[in-house]
Amino acid sequence: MIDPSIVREISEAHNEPDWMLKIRLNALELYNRLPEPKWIHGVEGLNVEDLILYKDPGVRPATSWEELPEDIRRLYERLNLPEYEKEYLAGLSTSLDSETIYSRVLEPLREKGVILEPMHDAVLNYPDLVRKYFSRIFPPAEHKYSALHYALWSGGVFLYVPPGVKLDLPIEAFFYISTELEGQFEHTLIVADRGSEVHFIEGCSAPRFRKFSFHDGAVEIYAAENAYVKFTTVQNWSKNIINFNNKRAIAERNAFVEWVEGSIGAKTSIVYPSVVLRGEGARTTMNVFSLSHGPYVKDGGAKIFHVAPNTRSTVVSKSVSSDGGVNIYRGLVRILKGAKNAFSHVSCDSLILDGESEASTYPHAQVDEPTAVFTHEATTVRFSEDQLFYLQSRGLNEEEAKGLAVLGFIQDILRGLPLEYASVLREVLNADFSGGVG
Amino acid sequence: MISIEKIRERAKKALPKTSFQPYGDSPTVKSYTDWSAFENAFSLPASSGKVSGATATDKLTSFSFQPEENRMLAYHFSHLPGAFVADSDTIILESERNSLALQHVLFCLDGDRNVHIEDLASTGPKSATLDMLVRPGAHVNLSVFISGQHSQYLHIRYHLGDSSELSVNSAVLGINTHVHHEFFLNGSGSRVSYSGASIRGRSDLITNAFVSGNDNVIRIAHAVFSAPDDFVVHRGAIRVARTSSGTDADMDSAFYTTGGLAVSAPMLEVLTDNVIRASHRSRDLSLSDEQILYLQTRGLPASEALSVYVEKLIEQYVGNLASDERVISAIKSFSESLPR
Repeated sequence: MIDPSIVREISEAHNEPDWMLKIRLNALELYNRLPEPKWIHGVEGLNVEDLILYKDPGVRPATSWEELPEDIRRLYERLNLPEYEKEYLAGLSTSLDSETIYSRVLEPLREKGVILEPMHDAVLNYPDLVRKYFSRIFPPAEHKYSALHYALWSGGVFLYVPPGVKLDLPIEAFFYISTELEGQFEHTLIVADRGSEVHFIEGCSAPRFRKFSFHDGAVEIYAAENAYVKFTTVQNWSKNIINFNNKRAIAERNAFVEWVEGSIGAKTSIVYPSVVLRGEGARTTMNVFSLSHGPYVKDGGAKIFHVAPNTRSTVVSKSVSSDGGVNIYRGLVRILKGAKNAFSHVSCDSLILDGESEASTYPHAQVDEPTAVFTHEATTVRFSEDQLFYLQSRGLNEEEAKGLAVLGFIQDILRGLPLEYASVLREVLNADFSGGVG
Repeated sequence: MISIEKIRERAKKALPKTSFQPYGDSPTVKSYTDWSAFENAFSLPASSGKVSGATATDKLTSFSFQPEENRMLAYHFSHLPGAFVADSDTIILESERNSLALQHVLFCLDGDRNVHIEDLASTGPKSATLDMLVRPGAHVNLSVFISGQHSQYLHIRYHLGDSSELSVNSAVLGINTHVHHEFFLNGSGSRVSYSGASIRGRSDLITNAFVSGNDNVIRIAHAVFSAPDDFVVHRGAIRVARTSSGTDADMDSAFYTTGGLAVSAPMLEVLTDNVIRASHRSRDLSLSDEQILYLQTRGLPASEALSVYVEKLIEQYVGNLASDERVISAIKSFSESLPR
């Protein structure tokens, strides 16, 4: 049980309006009432009450690097964030522990009405806009941990792109957990208005702790008519973070939502991005990549609800399990009656590199519409001795050969990433397989 | 030898602790089977129903079920009037009026055999469990016909010996039917080939294969055909254990809906890298506008083309059961739901 006083304290600390406090308290009641989800693996030992549920980094939100304390500025410099911002981004927001401490969007975009603000500021500055969408896309009642998120949310970012505004460069939000036994509950809300276009990148990191920390974030995306939203996650938490993320988008008429979900780090990761294709002609593609290298559990997938006619969805999932790693794909495609001519294709490929590792695929298709077309295919393959022999005959050692096989396996996903992020991912994979290829 | 009395005692202990399903079927559908109808049937007196092709026994040489697994099995075995051992290649299991028929059959198969099983819930609800031992080196062709106007639970466990081959064709027509086909491949060099169809009504069919032996081959294909107001489900898992090697497994789950709910959930759990193949797919069998147009250009009106296509499609899945009058009638009923 979590005491409502904690929730009230978080709300008061941010001068929140009553409607937000009500959302929090209702969610807390749900959290205390809902049972532990039985489909969750790898969270044994997690006792939420023992965690630091709100950690104030003690820094005022800034709009320039110079305003930040030197130690924090250096941390971000080590992560190359100021450089990325200058070279590749239209806007950047960074969260440290429970607060967003930096956010800035390019001035010409700000003048066009693009809003990029810490979520808490947006609740106060744009209450009508936030209230219209907040918790309406991913409901608190979905399961126990989504309820917990809404009760304790803190930090995160709000992005609004006005009608017709197209961002040529991506916007990035970066989340960092600095201490062990900490809970991070940031909330991201993206509203892409009619005909707008935006690519949002989410990055995550944490140093390695002796004990674990818990991340229970949420991402809500609203893509209005004809809008395009690409949401890319490069999750590279350290190997003792339990990562839980609640992600959902609503796509209106002819909107297109593209997800790229890269899961590399974390002890346990439980993330199923989902899209509700609510408007006629809405589309989504989901590219999910998951690497479980070592005794870690990656439980991911994609969920799609076809509600309207002529909606289309495509899911491509690739997972690599090695050194005792476990990958689980859990997916759902629900095509409702009336979603005429809906089309959905799901493809899941798993690569197992040794005898200690595992891969499971649990897809669900529920089709109520006779004119819909759905296909799913999944294969689990191993890195065969023949392939190893061939690559060794070309001069590679075993580790290099495995690294090369992994890179080849996920090539389709890498193509969807911005060049600089793809190269970071390549470096991480190289480091994991210590072969130094690519 | 295992006595039925001992099984009953074990199941009675398990009954208060079990539930129909330990967790929800899916995030959007609470359950694919109407378990409340079975719970209601538990108030009826238990009977053995009508069993032909098998002899009653109070002791079994082999028994693989776990009554602790769920409430259905716990109730089934705790109230089981008696068991049967198959002594013919045709087994008919029927329900009886004003009772809940509970049946358990042990079937041992060797040599080359053509076997036919019918599970019929035409006069009342029923529950049946079968342990089917396919001896080493046996070659078995099996057809399983399942039909009923009442709630019906059928759970068949197939245990394949070394170098055995089992080929199964199945047809399911029911109004609240829950069926398990479970294949255990613990030896080496065995092969399972399953092909079946669920046609109309409300049915939840599960095909599971558990592989712990070496060099085994599994081919599972099941299709569901759902018309308006129907609720037809196929689920299944292939689980390849860490101890196994050289497994070649594939599951094909397909559906055709003309307006009812069709569910396809093929699953894979692979715990080893020593597999030749582990794959599954789920697909929609309906024809595209282009395919219908092609058939029309060959001289067939669209409605006729669709009927012929569906008929041949179902025949392909149910194999030799396609000539059964009851299956023909079900195909016709589904064809009538096709757009005209």
